[in-house]
Amino acid sequence: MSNFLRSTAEYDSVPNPYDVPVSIIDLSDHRIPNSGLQLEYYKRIRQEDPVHYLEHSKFGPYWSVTTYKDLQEVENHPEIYSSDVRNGGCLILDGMPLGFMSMDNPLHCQQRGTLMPLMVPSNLARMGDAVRERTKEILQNLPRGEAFDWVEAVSLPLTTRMLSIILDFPYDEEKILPVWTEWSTDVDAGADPKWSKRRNEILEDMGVRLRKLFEAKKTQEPTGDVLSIMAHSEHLSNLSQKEFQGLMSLIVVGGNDTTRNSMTALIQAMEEFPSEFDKVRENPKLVSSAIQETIRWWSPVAHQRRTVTQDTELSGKKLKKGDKVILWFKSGNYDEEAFPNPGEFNITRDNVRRHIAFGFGIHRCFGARLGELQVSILLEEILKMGLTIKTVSPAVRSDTCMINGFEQQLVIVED
Amino acid sequence: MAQNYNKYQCLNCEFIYDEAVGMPEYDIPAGTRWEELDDDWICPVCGSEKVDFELLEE
Repeated sequence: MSNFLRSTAEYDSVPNPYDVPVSIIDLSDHRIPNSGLQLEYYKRIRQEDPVHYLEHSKFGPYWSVTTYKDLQEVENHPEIYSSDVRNGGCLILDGMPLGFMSMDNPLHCQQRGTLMPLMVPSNLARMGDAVRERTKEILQNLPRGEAFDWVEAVSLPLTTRMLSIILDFPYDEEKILPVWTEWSTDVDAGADPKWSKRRNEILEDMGVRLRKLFEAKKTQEPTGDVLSIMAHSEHLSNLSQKEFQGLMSLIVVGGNDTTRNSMTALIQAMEEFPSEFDKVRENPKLVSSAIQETIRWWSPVAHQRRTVTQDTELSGKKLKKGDKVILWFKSGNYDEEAFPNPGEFNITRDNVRRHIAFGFGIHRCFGARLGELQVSILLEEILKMGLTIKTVSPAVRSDTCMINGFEQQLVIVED
Repeated sequence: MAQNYNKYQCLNCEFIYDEAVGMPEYDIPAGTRWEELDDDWICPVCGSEKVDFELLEE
């Protein structure tokens, strides 16, 4: 992994996790993703204090949950571990509304269920056709033999177009969509007085612009996209502007950031573990397994948060009502008890589909299968075209504890 | 007979589909076999497809 990391004084100043007392380790430190030490931090906490309490952080005190078993335990008990924004929400930053992700049942179930028709296999297949055409177009037009940024040229436009499709958003205005995504996911800006006002303005603007499209959908025949399904539904047609904006933040984050970063992680995986992708070349039926392993290996969603609704116990630790609990999904995906040799990229793992990158239980990522579809199509088309893709400099990763993201990955493509 | 009905569990959220009960709220009557569920059927809780379910051994 070290080849993919930029080196700056800020990131170099991140101490080795074994050089500091375990009690003061702060997994929410935004420098960790670019430090090259992220997996070591998770490993130390998992091995020495898997349900770990930190008293002081810029997000306040919080518990970290780091093992696969405990992550499942928390996700299996949403009545004890709340996602409701009134209790704190689903992110380490308090009180950020994110649609039904930041709700408990029964409201969560009502809203999520309303949008579920979007994700049925026949609809995914229909959207897959449009995604494949766009993927071919982008890959065919990439420069050959010269360095360019894979994030900007491939990952970003592909996921942005998918988001345009599910929102029925005008293609000629779609460049604003990833901007909204970035600000939605930037919990560090949300916690910074210098930036939180600007962040709120941008997200409010997003809400206003999408609301206009939504209101227009009410007077039109159903078209099967998110805004149309909402406009013609019982549970989502009369949301307050605040609720509407929160749901739109969820859609632009879920429909963009996670898939975009998996598409860049795929390129790194193909370069680092070529023999695993040779297996896919020999047997294209392994595409799905390769994508599942890519998503486990990279785990694009770094964390989610829950709030304890009653005094409880988790792996021997006593949690109090009101405590903040952070679920570190990537740590769970590197838990040796669930995934032997977790650093090994192995597309034939027995449990390759059982990663926890998308969460577990009622809050499992709503768009998981759409994300898998997009990354699968990208891999299929790369293999069909016989492209060779080489990274030419370390990746620049996002400075945030919310997403395991990429800002830039320079590559050279050859036929 | 009821004892011949099977149950299938979602491995992503632990929802159980019970053939004996069906899902009347989704117009799937009691007695509907796993194999008879529509190709568009997905887990009502987390959205997983049938491939992510496993037969529960009694």
